[in-house]
Amino acid sequence: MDATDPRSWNEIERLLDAALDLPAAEREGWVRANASHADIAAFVLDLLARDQRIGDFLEGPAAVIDVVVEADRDENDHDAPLLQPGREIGAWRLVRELGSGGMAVVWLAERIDGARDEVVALKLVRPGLDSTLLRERFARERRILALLQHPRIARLLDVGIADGRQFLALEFVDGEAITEWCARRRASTRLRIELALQVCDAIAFAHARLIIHRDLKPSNILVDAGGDVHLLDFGIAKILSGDSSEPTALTAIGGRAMTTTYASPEQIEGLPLGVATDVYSLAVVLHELLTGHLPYRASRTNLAAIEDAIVHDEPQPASVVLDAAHAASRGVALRRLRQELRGDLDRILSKALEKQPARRYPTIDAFADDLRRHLHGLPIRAQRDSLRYRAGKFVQRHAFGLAVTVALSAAVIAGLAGTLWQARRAAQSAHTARAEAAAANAVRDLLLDMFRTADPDVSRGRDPSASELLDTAMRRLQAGLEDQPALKARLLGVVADLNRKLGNYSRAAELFGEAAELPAMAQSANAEERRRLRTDHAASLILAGNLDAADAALVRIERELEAAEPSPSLAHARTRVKVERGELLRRQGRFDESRALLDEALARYATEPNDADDRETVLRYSADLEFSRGHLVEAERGFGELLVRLQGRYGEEHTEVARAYNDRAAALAQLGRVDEAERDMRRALELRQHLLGHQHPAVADSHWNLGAALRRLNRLDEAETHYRDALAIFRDTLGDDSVEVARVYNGLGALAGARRDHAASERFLREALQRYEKTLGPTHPDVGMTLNNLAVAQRRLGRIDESATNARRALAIQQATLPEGHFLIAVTRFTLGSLALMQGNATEAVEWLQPAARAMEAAMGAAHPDVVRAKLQWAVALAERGDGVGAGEIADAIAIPPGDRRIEADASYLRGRVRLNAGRFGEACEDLDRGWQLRGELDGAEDPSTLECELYLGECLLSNKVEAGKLHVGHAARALLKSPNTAPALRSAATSLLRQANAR
Amino acid sequence: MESVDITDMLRDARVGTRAAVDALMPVLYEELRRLAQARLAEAPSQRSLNTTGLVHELYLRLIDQNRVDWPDRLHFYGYAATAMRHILVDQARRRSTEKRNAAATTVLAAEDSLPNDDGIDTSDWIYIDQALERLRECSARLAQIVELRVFAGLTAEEVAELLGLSLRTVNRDWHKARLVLHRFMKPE
Repeated sequence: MDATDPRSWNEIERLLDAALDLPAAEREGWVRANASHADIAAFVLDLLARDQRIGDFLEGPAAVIDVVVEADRDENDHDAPLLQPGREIGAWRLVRELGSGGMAVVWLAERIDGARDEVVALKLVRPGLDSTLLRERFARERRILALLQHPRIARLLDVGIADGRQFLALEFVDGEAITEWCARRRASTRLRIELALQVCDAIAFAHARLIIHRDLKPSNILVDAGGDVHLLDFGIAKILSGDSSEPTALTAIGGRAMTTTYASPEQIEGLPLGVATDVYSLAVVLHELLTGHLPYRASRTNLAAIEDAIVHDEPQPASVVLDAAHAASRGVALRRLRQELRGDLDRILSKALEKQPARRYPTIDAFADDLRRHLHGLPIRAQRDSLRYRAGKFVQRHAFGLAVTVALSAAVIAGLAGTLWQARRAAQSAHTARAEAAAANAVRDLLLDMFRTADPDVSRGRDPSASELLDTAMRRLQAGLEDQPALKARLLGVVADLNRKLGNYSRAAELFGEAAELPAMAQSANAEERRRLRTDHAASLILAGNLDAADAALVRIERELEAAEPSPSLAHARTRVKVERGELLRRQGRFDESRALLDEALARYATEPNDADDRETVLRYSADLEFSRGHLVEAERGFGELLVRLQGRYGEEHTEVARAYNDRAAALAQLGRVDEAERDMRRALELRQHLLGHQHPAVADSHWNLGAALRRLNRLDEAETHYRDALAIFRDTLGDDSVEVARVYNGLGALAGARRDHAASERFLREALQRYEKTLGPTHPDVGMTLNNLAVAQRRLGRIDESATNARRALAIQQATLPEGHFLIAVTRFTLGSLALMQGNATEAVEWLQPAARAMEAAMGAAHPDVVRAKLQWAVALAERGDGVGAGEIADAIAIPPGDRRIEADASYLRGRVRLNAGRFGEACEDLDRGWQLRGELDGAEDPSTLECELYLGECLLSNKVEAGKLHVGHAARALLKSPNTAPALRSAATSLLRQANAR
Repeated sequence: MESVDITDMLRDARVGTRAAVDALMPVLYEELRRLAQARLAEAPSQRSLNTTGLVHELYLRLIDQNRVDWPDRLHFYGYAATAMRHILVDQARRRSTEKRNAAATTVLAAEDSLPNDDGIDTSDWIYIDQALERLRECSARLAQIVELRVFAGLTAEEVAELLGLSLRTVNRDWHKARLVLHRFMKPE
């Protein structure tokens, strides 16, 4: 009987548990009676018998450690005599010691057989410190160096084990530290920069192979007699700690540099590193080369002060740091040196030395590019507006995270090393099945880490073809791993998730589905995992807009959950499915049902275990729901709450954070808080461009939103740029037929309307409508919205009948699909009311305009410009109907929002009409005059709306006994009557006013 | 795995990215050793160190307290306990090699052995390690409790809190585990 066999063990444990509760005398009898087999009984009885004997076995304080240090101390001492000149290690003979650190020692060595005249720098790990761990690190260093074959990088020439010690033979570089070399030759500023550019080359090469140096400093950058640069110690410094020549207060963990002086803020703070880390360190070196000093004032030997300065102090501009001593050592006048550095070089270095990695040059190439531009006298790219950000807006309480994992080498190899280590331990226990499993883990880890580079939140926009990488990985996956289905399922899930993040929702859905339906997943052990994959599948279908399929998928899971065995994970799975169902309902427009489900989920999450992902999802869906329902204030608050949570969890640099900014901005824009919306919008756009590259649908989405915000701010040219960017990207990524392209056309239509180019507006809107109808079907609310916009454009063109038809169609759709009181319905009613007014039908107009104005005010607030317009239009209609008093009350109560000339023009005109009707000629003339002036400025004197205003102004003046009114009436009326597009009511007003004026 | 923040690694590990898990081990191993060296260097007369204190101190040093959720703490302690265990076994292996090689044996003080039982040389961590591996094949939960108690030095209450079990269950499990380990180490 094997106690480790699960069936045996389960019984053993069960019997043991029960027996331990019995009095000692009864135990034996009971066990014999209840055991299924004599062997099992014997085992259990044996254990019970030991009960009295074990005493304090394993109970004492934990073990001693002093043995560790003892061993080390002894072995360290033994080291010295073992390494001496002439000693042979592998194919090499030691010549002389070059240097040593805490864990390794470096010797100059020559080839034993002397065939080639080769010398190398031989790095050996100190014995005694030679542990499994260090072996793995050495192996990793070897792999890193093997990838880096570059003339500027010290090459790895040989590697091996001698006398049980690992050694690395590196290209020996006969040169000086770059600072020394430049000082000795009194190199010019130009030459120093050119050397730095050589370094950039080497680093860029390594970055392209996903290796960051992490420990750039002058002693790692050697220059030989020929003036060629050689880079040392790639990724090595983090392995071998305790380089005795420099202060080393920091540990090797977390990628912190061995050398404080040149370390970046993220290294000091133990945050994730990335390519910008090397940019920073190189900038410190360059700064020192150009000025003789570090960018900080702290003394070189006071580590704590240096660390503090790096993290908190603004680096001094190079031109300021220059002093006479350095100038003298260069043999150049201080003033001339200052001139060389001031301006461009100051700015380049400042940008590279930004505390926040996202503010620096995103790549070494970008840094090098600006340096080259400077050398060629071209304008540099570093902008001054980095100051704007320093001003405190996005200032660090938690520093910005960076791209983890320039991972392929370091992380994978470390992971591999760790896994092989485990595998070896498993093998030592002579359990081969474990060893095999560990090897499988190694494969999986390799792939998982490769995927991490594809994750936009990890790669920070450096890899625009992440999708391609995923596809390659996918093919590899699908081709193999048939014999490891659980592994395959897990990996498919990871790839699916990454696709989701990259916006490939259909693909994600496919893959989640595939993973869930793998035969192995049918086993009961995998039930929870399969549920999760199926839910992810459904969620992705929702994201892809494939609502019918999503519905079917959810129904399937819901059924399964109903029938399932209770288990701790079941409640959690149920709630998650509810949340997705809630989102589906929202997309179907069933808002109340959606609200109910989401509220239920929120209540559950207050008491059930869940993770941050779940909470964030439901918060987001909830805020989206409020937005869809038109509850803009709640939506804005919800997105704001989500944003804070996401920032707390991820820091600023994350796609989810960008999305939250984006969504909040949309709510703010609808609320009319456009400045705030613009700010959020720009932030989202920036983040997305940085994380996703410039050709991603989410970036296009941000362009579109920003365009919409700018349009409302009347910055129409800027708005157009962003709309067009959005259009191009959406077309390229999602296709010309996509809903998103339709949306942009809608926006362009609105933009053209704002420019008063109503013909163009109509064209764009027709494009939008066509696409919407094709992709969403003819009865979708967005089709309704576009129909209304089209109606507005046609109204402005004077095509009243077409306008009315479209507006009615819009209203029908919206009433069927949106809740009553939704502001979009109100907007359509407003259109219909305006049309009625244009046709002279004041009673009908009031019937439309009154509920419209009320609903819009409820949804958007009284200060919103469209609400002001709506109310005043309503007032005009009332006045036309004869209810002058009511009209006057409304008009007087309006506060015209300042700062927006368009609304001021419209509001002045409308209020003037009301007052004119009420006989308050003095006030009316003021209003109408103001309206006429503003409209004239905005649209020109001959624009129909300007003429309309002029007409009534004329009438008002005449009523106020001002003769000049006649001229206005004459001019306006004639022009209006001449145009075929003038609306009936206006036409008849013009005719009669002209007659009256002439009669006076 | 030095390019990754430990807290993030823990989080990844919790979500199941084995790469992070495996990469965490060498890191913890190394960190514990260094900590031990540093602590001993401070007080050379001290011949032994409380591993519990080490693990706790390691936790505080490496983990950003504000960002850790409780499931991560459990995993940290789990991993740290395993790392500590590996350290002890590695040292034991090396020691046994030396014993065979060296003329003069390093004198081991009496407190090198744990309070004893029935003749099992519990200073030989290699055997404990092997027995623990076998226990793990029977029951991962029991093995974990042993690791947490012995190598991370957590009290039964702390283990209960960490694993979300009742104190009674933890005490019972601990008892059972010791019985089984005793048998694996000295079957008779």
